[in-house]
Amino acid sequence: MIVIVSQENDSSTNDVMDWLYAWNKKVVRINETDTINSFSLQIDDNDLSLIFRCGNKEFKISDVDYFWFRRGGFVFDVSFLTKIEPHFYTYLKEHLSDECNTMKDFLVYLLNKKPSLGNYYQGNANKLISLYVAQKVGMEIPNTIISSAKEDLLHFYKNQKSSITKFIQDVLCFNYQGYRYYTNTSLVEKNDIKKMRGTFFPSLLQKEIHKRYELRIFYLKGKCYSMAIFSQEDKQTVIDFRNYNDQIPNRYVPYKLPHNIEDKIDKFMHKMNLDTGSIDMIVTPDLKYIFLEVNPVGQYDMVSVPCNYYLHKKIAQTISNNE
Amino acid sequence: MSNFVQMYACCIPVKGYKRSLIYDLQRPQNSNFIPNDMYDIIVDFRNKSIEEIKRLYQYQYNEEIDSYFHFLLENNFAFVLQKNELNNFPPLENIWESPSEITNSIIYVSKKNIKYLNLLLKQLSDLRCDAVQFCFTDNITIEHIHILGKQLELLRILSVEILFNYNDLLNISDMLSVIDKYPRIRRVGIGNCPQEFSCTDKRLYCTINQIDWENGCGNISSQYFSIGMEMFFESQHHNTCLNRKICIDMNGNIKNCPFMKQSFGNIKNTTLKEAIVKQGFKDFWFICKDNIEVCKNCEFRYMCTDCRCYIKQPANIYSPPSKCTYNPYITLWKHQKHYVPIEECGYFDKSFRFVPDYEKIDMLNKTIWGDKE
Repeated sequence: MIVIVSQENDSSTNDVMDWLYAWNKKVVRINETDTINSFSLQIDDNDLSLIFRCGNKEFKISDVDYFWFRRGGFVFDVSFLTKIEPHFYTYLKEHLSDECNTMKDFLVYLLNKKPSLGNYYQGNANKLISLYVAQKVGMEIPNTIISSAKEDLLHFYKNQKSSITKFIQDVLCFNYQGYRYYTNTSLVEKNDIKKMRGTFFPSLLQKEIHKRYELRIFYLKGKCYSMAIFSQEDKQTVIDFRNYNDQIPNRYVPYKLPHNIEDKIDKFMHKMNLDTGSIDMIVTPDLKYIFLEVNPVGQYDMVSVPCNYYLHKKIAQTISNNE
Repeated sequence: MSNFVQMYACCIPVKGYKRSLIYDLQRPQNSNFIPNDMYDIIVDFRNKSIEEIKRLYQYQYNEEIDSYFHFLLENNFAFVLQKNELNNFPPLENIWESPSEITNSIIYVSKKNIKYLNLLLKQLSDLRCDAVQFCFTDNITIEHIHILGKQLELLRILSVEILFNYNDLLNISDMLSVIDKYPRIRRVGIGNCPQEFSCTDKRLYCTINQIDWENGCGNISSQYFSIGMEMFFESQHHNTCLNRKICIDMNGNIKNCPFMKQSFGNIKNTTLKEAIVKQGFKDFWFICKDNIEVCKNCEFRYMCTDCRCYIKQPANIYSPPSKCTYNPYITLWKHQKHYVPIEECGYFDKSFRFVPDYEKIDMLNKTIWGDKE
């Protein structure tokens, strides 16, 4: 039995499951929207039994052969709480979610004893730790500052000549009154900093790296499947290729990394405790490889399809071979 | 111009008898014809510097070579690279695979076999079929489509097309609301429509022409061409019409194509899974354009749908489709001036091989295109 934790709308999970079904594997997929409404755990001197149910999905921990954490997580059902008095609600909610976390952590602990793919606790790898670890394993990274002082930023800007700003960890994205609001990576002018007050919320600046092309690397248990994105030729995508140009899409082509870079990525992933993830890099005009970030649960379709890599099948093979 | 130029992996030149075609798999509209000379330079001298290519041609064709590379860069088929990047850009791997035992299906639904519809849907779903075309040959009501739409929501089938001829029980606004309700019904095509029926919605296609259930298939035309990754790689290993296809004809017979004679059982007593493993069922799946006479010389061979039902010489399963109206030896379609059929550019020998008459083709091309010696 293979247990997959994912999200309902993640179509790349479907694609991997198709292969697993083709090989007659038994699969239970728990989505974030499947709230856990039955959990039964017994431990005594010689034995442990754990049965887990979400609606009509169920598994016994002893039947699990493989655990794939794709994205999302286990969510316990605490909806009955709404029926209680508001005064108790706050306290009880916090208390019960702590209780749930203990059960959830134990469940993940047991699942992680099985052959597995994905790190349940690293769904959103800390971007600053990543940058630090990348630098420690010998990769080049962009000079970065996070500061709440205007003077610091001005000083940094002066040294770097040209800088960009982006979120420290996550993209902010929401809809309001018919408009979509989101943050992306953008160039910073000296005046942008000058206009700011003396102190403010800690903000990130990074030296602008001139790109020859960008790389998106899907890492799977020691192997790198890389793609080059020629985002430099289109003004719309020079700073951030996610400003997709639908009319004339950027060129996405397969890329073979030099061995020394693959080795560094491998070291980096081990130190981050990740066995899979999507890594973003930039290749500069003088062919230097600059590490930007890792997304442990990133979409790999965008690498798999244009490069004809069949990553869904490769993931399914990893799972069914108990690698 | 810098020294090294390489094609993007997604821009793939394909050689035909008289001209080549660069398939732009990421920007299909950008695909373009090139002379076969340019094809040879691109393919034979990959990873050679422009300077070296000129030298290999003993500096006889400097201008032509420059103009070729200029064309490739101008049209964004290629990019300039540095010498130590040459090994960083591998070509796309020439593979096509699918986890589905069946990827597509055509089901004829008649009064006789409509009672098997639910059973069929379930069986197709279990085979992980992606796309199904339903042809309702007898009168259809809106309820039929509701039943189908509801059923689909529980199944693996992702995309459905429904075809039928108009009858008095139908009206267009009902039809549109049905399509809105069931997103997996991607397209409804109605034949024999009254003149006043017209619709701008792309998902609903109305035509005054009666849909011909007997002979309507097998046409080869540029309007059916499709340029893309899936098609390009599938077509190099498999038949572009019949690969992983299963069909049910009006009488419930299980076939490769509803118009073919050979049956692999009837849905009354045979499951689709049983039919697929019968001897011969998958034979057509592996006939690709590179095996087919004439098609193998055509620059459109990896974007074209095939037909193995209506072929020029029924005794040869590698015979070209009889309804094809393109002649790759002179690069003309039937509706174009100076067109002659392929039979005037050569002959089929006793073993059904097409033997081009090179002299005659040269002469035709001289007249039509002003080709030089």
